[in-house]
Amino acid sequence: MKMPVTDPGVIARREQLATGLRAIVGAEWVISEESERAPYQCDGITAYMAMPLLVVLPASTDEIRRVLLFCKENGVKIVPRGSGTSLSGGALPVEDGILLGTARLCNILDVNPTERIARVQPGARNITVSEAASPHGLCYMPDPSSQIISTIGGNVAENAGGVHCLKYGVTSNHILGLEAVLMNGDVIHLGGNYLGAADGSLDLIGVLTGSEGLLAVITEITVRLVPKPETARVLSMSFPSVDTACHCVGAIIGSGIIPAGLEFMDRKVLDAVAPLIQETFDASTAALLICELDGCKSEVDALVQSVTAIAQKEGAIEVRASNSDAERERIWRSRKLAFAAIGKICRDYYCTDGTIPRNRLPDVLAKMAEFSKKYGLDYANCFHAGDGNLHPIIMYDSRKPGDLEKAEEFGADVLRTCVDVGGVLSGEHGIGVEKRDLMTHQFTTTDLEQQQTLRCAFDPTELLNPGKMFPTPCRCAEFGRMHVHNGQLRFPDVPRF
Amino acid sequence: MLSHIPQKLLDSNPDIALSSDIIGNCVHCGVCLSHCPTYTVLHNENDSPRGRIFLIKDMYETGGAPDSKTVEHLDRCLTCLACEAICPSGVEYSKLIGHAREYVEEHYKRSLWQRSVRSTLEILLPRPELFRLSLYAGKLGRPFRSLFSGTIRAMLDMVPKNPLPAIGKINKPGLYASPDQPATGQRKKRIALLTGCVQNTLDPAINDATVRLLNRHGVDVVVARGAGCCGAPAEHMGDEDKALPYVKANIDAWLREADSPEGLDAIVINASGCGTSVKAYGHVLRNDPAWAEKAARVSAMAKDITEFMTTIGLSKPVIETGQRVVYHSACSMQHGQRIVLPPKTLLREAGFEVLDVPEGYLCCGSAGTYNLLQPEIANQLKDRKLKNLKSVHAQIAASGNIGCITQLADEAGIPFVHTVELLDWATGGPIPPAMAKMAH
Amino acid sequence: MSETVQKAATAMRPTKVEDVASVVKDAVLSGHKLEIRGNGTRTGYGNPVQADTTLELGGLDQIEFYEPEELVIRLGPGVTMQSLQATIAERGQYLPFEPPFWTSLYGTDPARATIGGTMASALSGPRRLFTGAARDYILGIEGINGQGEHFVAGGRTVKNVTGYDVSKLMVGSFGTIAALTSLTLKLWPAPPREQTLLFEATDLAADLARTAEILRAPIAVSGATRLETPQGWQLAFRIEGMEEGVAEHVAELTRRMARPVAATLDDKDSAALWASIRELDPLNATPDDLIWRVNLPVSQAKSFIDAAGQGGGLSRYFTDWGGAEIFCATKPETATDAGVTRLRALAKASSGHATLVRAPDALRRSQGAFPPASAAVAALSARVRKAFDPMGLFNPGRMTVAGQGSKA
Repeated sequence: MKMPVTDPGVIARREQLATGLRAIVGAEWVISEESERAPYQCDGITAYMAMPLLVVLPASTDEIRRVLLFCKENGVKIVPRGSGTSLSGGALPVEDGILLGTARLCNILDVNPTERIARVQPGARNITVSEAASPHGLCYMPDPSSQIISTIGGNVAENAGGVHCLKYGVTSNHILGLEAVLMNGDVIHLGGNYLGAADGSLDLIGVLTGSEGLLAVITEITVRLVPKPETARVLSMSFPSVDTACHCVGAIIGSGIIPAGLEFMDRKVLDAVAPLIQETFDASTAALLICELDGCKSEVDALVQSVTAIAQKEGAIEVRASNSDAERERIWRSRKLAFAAIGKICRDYYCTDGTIPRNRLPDVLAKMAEFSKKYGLDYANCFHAGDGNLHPIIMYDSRKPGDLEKAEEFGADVLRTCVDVGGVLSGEHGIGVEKRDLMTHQFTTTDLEQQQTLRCAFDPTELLNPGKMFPTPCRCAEFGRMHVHNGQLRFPDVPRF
Repeated sequence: MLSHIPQKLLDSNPDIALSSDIIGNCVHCGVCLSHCPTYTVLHNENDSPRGRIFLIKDMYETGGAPDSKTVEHLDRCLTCLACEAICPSGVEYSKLIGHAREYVEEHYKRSLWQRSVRSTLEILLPRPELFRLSLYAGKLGRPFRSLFSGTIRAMLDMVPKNPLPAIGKINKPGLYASPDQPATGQRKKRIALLTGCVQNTLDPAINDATVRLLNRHGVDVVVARGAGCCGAPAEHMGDEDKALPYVKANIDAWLREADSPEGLDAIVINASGCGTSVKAYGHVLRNDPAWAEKAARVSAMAKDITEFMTTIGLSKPVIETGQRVVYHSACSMQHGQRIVLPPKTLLREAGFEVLDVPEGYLCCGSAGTYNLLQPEIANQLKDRKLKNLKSVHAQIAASGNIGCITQLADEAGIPFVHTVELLDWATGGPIPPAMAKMAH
Repeated sequence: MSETVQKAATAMRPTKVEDVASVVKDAVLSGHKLEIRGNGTRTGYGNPVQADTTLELGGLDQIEFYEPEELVIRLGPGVTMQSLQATIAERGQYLPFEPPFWTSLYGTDPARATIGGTMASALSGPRRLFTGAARDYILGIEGINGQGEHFVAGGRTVKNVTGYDVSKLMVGSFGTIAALTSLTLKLWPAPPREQTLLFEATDLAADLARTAEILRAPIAVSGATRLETPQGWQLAFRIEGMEEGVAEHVAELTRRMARPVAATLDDKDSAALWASIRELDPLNATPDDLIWRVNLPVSQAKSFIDAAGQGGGLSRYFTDWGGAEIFCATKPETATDAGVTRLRALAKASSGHATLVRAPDALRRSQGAFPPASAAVAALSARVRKAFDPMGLFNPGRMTVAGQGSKA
């Protein structure tokens, strides 16, 4: 993985920089011993590692502001990090940059049932927001699989999705307000604690959500809470082929039903999961759909009937509906254990994250089978079918030289296919370093330059999370010179950052 | 996670070879951080299971003596095993940290002070008579506790403020037989009870209640001659060699009973910390051909008192209960032994209203000898636990582990009793002493 | 320049994307400022623009694709709201954010209101409370930046973290970022049934508190308004969904309100009521009234109304979004710099902010339709605009008043 050129001068000044940072956040919150920095070398992807210059754990917005100004003054890069669960290498350190962790900023500052909002610090874990809202009958809807540990700050940075985002939307749809610190030391407050608080100015909350830590450090988040659905039932539907299962996905949504969640698991996943849940799956089952329907009781019962009828019409072998919370949990268990189960049948796996129009699912899944032959690597499929968000699980053995590279190439082929059928490189994991070099497959040079100038508006120093998202450096300072036509500066008045 | 531990090390040390495989199962997802008590209060990746796995990996990869920072972070682990219980990939962290601690003790030279504290604890805790004596000594020292800090202060703090309870009834080996006509009318059963070294000193009423409860349900209780400390105190400190004599003595003592004409239906343990330890005998001795099979047999027979009571069924309560009981599940209970429902179900069957502690997965900070070795962190965890415990406004607190009860009882503001004391009371025994005292 | 561009006096109305780019490139060369708009039906919303040339995007009025089973449509910004809504209604779908037209406020032709204008103005109606705003339904955009370059952002899938969400930045940017040439929208199945329950209002604070309780209950309330009707002040709650669900939710709502139902409106009648709320009819504003939109915490709504009634020249109002949005009319004599400043100060004192929905041009030019941002946010917004439109050609002054940001 190519990363921005390391500045040996910065590394040489490690101790001096540590002293400066200790003066800001306190001695014990700057981690400088090599053995203690080592565990911070990677996030949720262990294939990419780099030793951070220092790990800094601030405890307030003001400390973050001072840390950023200090880094700007000293030309030190900054990689923001929540719980380090990114699956795209979003929190991968750089050797000449600090890792700025939000672990100490983990409090829920306010839960207001009247306004239906919660104000939280960036290091608060996703699930703790719903737990705090629960006594009021409210919840925070976005529920990435990592919700037990991933932080709200990280969720905002990656615009996290989750099982329920088909019906309830992704992180971006649930953020009402943000406080963030820019590289110039400005603390900006966007939106607030009520609906429409951000109206009347540019949607900078929209820009910051999913910006992967390249624009600003988010220091406080106000989220929208919604009433917990009264009841939910889950259908487990088995199909004789991948194609029939995919068609059923389209048929359900085409009929005007939006399930709370609609998940797909192929036979390989089922076989891996079966021993863990002590269940067997019918031999003729090639794919399983799990469909959650929620709302009030009569509504859910009616939806269960409708979806059952659709599935049967689409050729389902068996349709089972949960009749209790315990049954619902049991059906979900197979999905929740899927990735761990795959982990047990192979040494390593690589999971990527393209999203495609639902009706192209059969084509792309067929392509995957071809790639599997091409690279000689096995794979399995377990993904959010309702929103076409694929998570192909490519199995490899990290002890075999070249295997990881093959797995990465396999993944890249899948992602390029996603783009070719009208989809995108990432649905919820982000670009990070993992998909960075594929950006040119989805975007033109102009598109990417436009994105990069936007970055320069936030961080002209390019010190924030460098090497992520874009395959080339921004060169903020050169933007004025970018449009040289016929050997002459076309827009001499364009201001330079 | 891929590790590069030198092949020589893997070949020469089966524990490190196993550790290497376990490290390979970790996908670095971070789920364990959510339930880790030290990460929760310290916010440092190095003080999380995922971070420690990384430190352990590096320690083996580098070889030789680990640096003091690595040791510090490994020492801070409470071995509560909340991480292992929640790990989606089934990473056996307990084995990793156990082997790593042995490696540390073998390769790392601790300061004289640390060594003397640790060896004092190793000597005192497994010996009820000595521990009792030291607590009397401690009572003399308590008024001067403000002069001390760290471990000494924590030890003095552990000394009960109230007079030490009298020595309990279940204080020597022998048979504590049930009446001829068991209340349940079932076939009489026979079990061996591990009396627990620390527990019998600090709160002998627990063993008394246990025996009464079992006898009332037609169960003969044997305290096997030769059985004593489970070996956990030494193991907590990474000293497996010192733990083994205790382990082997217990195995011999219990198997003697099991192989006697009367036989044993189970080895019942009412301190979940000890229970976790006994259930691990099979693993500890797996590479010892002379002991592996015997140890596995003992581990298979080991049952927590609530597991055992669930299998024989609790008789109907004879008094009116209904109190709001907040049940604190010890780490060794919920994570170590994965016993979650039985204690709560039994309490409900006994007529109590059972409440859970918010953040119930977090350790209270007691953790064997932890509160003595890492008093600052232990106190933070204790305060957090007490706050959570009080938030549900219960009338009684119950737990299945003496360590937690000692850690929390003084400041809980409500009587803190062992689960069996409540079960005993509800089915015909005396009111638990802690409740009687609080009522006055 | 292509033949298809129809030249008005100073208005350009291209029908092809390349021609939009040409217009912008010409502006780059000449330094002429551009007023970018759809068909110009809502120029009364936001600040008046002083530009050399008008670039109307109403000519880009083609639907590129509509895939109902995928819940997605890609179309030119010039497609009119009426034709879009008719097209998707045929397949049982709708735009959940219930965009208002507001053409009656500005005296323009509703048939000419465009989707591009709607998204650029971030117009969202009563249902936003339940389904989200206009920004939550944009999936992708294409546009021409201030250097005449065509660029793409976003895509056509709901889940997408591929580059910055520039699509959302476009929504509510009032044409100050780029000239939009294509929009991709997420659509939603229209609920087959709707019912509105009206209850007699009591005290404002008590009504809003009760409404807040309803809104945190698991009831699918998609509209919660308190308004003055010929029958007096009433609370209106809308419930939409499947037949079975609506009946159960209505029963639960009635139970929790614990007040007699004053009236029940079914389907068409319900829709008519919410259309009138959406278009601000309940204000009954006189042509010279200022019309305001105030957004604030629900808990502050009462104090704002009281204060605006005493010292803000408030004449009529109603609350929407359970009280988090107040539409109000102030008397014609408040149409002064001091009057506007006063009402904005009252909104700010109630932790909210006030937008001028309708006011004379001069007033919007001097005071701005939108409340001023903090200095840091204003500076950042200016840099963001510059990143797309370095010469400041697009809709200068449409969202901001020179010098205002740094003052606040």
